Formats: sequence, structure tokens, C-alpha cells
Amino acid sequence: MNEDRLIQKLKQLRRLEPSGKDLQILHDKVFSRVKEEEYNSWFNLWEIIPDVFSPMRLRPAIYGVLAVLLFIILSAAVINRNNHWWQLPESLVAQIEVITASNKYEKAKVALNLSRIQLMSLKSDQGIDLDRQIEKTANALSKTNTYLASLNLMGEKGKYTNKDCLNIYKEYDQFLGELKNEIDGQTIKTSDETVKKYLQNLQTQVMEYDQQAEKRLKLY
Amino acid sequence: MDKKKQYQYFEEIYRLYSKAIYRFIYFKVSDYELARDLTADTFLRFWKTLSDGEEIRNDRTFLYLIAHGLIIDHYRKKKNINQVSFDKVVDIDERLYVTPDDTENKIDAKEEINRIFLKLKELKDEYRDVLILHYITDLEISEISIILNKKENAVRVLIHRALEHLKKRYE
Repeated sequence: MNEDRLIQKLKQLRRLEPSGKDLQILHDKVFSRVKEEEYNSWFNLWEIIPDVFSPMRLRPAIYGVLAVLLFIILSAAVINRNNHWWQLPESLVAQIEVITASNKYEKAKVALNLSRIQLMSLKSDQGIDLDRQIEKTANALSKTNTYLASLNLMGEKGKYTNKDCLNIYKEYDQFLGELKNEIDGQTIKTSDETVKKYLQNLQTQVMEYDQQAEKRLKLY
Repeated sequence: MDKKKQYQYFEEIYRLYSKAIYRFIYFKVSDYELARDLTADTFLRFWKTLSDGEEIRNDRTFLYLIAHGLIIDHYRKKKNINQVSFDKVVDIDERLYVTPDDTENKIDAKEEINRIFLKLKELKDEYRDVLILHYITDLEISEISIILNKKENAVRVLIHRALEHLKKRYE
């Protein structure tokens, strides 16, 4: 069979579609979650404001949003005392996701995943927003390293095993290798000296964490 | 972009890509419920990024990047890549619909599609990945290189080798 004919056969697979029922279930699942998150973010104090404060009812959405934002910022500030206020809004959702993970291992996994997604953003950046992407990568990496460093190499009963720990360190080691290569590539591409300096700092951070990870892996 | 526009934009992205993402994930995991769950997770992650105000340069590439990452995570959790069960779903049935073409015999078309589907599943993962991404989802080499984290030349070589292996299965 020649190659063109084979490619035509492969393209036939584009005609496969999920059933109407599966599509409906999928649609409901996605949009119910999206609407739920949107509803939660616009939580309205309407129901609990007593009559004496009835003027507030005229603009419940504004007061509701302000109250929710204040609560989230205060909670995050209490939990993350070392974070600077001006960094909180940007990484808040990511931080909450890590904080609500059930144990150190799960936190480390989520943090590593977030670092991977941040690496993809760095890769797809075309040089316009690179310095911001570098900063976000450095922050994500720092958190990931902190959570990984807190893991007990022998595991914790009922939470994670020593094998889990070994595997996540291997994944982290591989991720650091990918990140190093990406930083090298970006350093060659950019002509901006300030960005080069940021990349150099990030590379130093990566190498330091890589050494730490290697030391831990050698203990196995 | 305000929230309302973000939501409308997301609806449009979902409308454009939901079937294709589902199809891509299904070809990788061969499980309808799992493909549905991972597709939902893909779009929810996309929504989270969009609603956080993050810039997304290429919607399509980003969606496939997320989907690919979720599939890898799923296999890592299972700790055994070969746990995809060929007994469970071997061929196309009523849960995967073949879009009709009035000029052809429907039974023959479904059989032909089923045949290529099974041949594709026999290939090793990285060959199957590149063929699905390039010929079925119609992604560019540059996009595939981002998703698979490989250089563009490496992707071209993989595509060539994958086609050679698939050709042998037809002989």
C-alpha cells in the first residue's frame, strides 16, 4: 500500500465521534462545574442581610464580591504568611489547590504538575511576556522544591510509600532536565540582556535544586 | 476580557474542540468513561487558565498539551502503561459514531475504519501519538513538537517511521 493511500485511511478516523449521550454527559459535567465555580465566586450576601441593612440590598453583588475577596485574601495571608500581598491574587487559585491537597505527597504532586504547566507556558511564550513567565516559573519551582524536600524518603504510613517518593523524585529530576534545556534555548533566542539575567538566575535555581534532588535519589 | 466574554469564548472553544479532544483521548486510553472524564478535566483546566486571566497563545495546542499531560498522569497513577485493556473495547461500536457519507456503503465504511483503528492500536505509543496528532487531529509539526516535547526534526522522523510500521501491518 502506498503512503498516500495509508494517510487517506488514517484521515478516515476523523469521522469517528462520541455518541450523543456521551456528548451530553460530557457537556453537563464541564458546564455544571464552570457555572458552580462562577456562582461561588459571586457569592451573594443577599439572603443573610437583615432588614435593618436593607440599603445594602440595593447593591448586593458588589458587597458580596468584596466580602468573598476579603475572606479569600485574609485566609491566604494567614496560611501563607511569607508571601507578599501583591503576589497573592495571581497565584491564589494555584496555592489553594496545593493547600487543600490531603497530604505532603499529594501537595508535592500538584505542585509538580503546576510547575509542568508553567513550563509549557514558558515554552509557548514568543518573547513578549518572557520576564513574567520566568518569574512565575521560578515561583512554581520554588514551591515544588519545598514540598518535595518535605517528603520522608521512607514514606509515611497510609499516605505514601517510599516507592511513591522515589518515583516523584525521578519525575522531578526529569522535569528539571527539561527546564534546563528550555532555559538554555530561551537564553540563546533572546537578545534582551535583562531577560538573559533573569534566565541565568532561574538556571542557577534549577541547578541548585537538581543537586538536591540527585543527593536524595542517591540515598535510594 | 470580562467574565461574560470569557464564558462565551470558552463555550466557543468547547464547541470547536470537544469532539476532537475526546477522540484523541479515546484513541490513547481505549475507555469511554475515562476518555469522557479526561476530556472534561482538559476543558476545566483550560477554563481555569482562561478565568485566571492567563494569556493563551494557541488554544488548540494548549488543549492538546493539557490532554496529553492528563493522559500521562493517568498512566503514571496506574503505574503500568500496558494496563490499557484490549479486551474491554476492541473495536468501534455504537458509542463511537461514524459520520455518514451518502455516497458510500455504510457497513463497508465502518469495517474499513475499524480495521485502520485496530492497526493503529497495534503500534507502539510514540508512533500512535504522532500519527493521531498529525493526520487525525491535523496539528502542525511545530504544535506536535510542543506537545510531545521533542524537536521538530525528531517529530518528522517519528512520523515517517510510524507510517512505515503501519504500512507493514497492512502487508
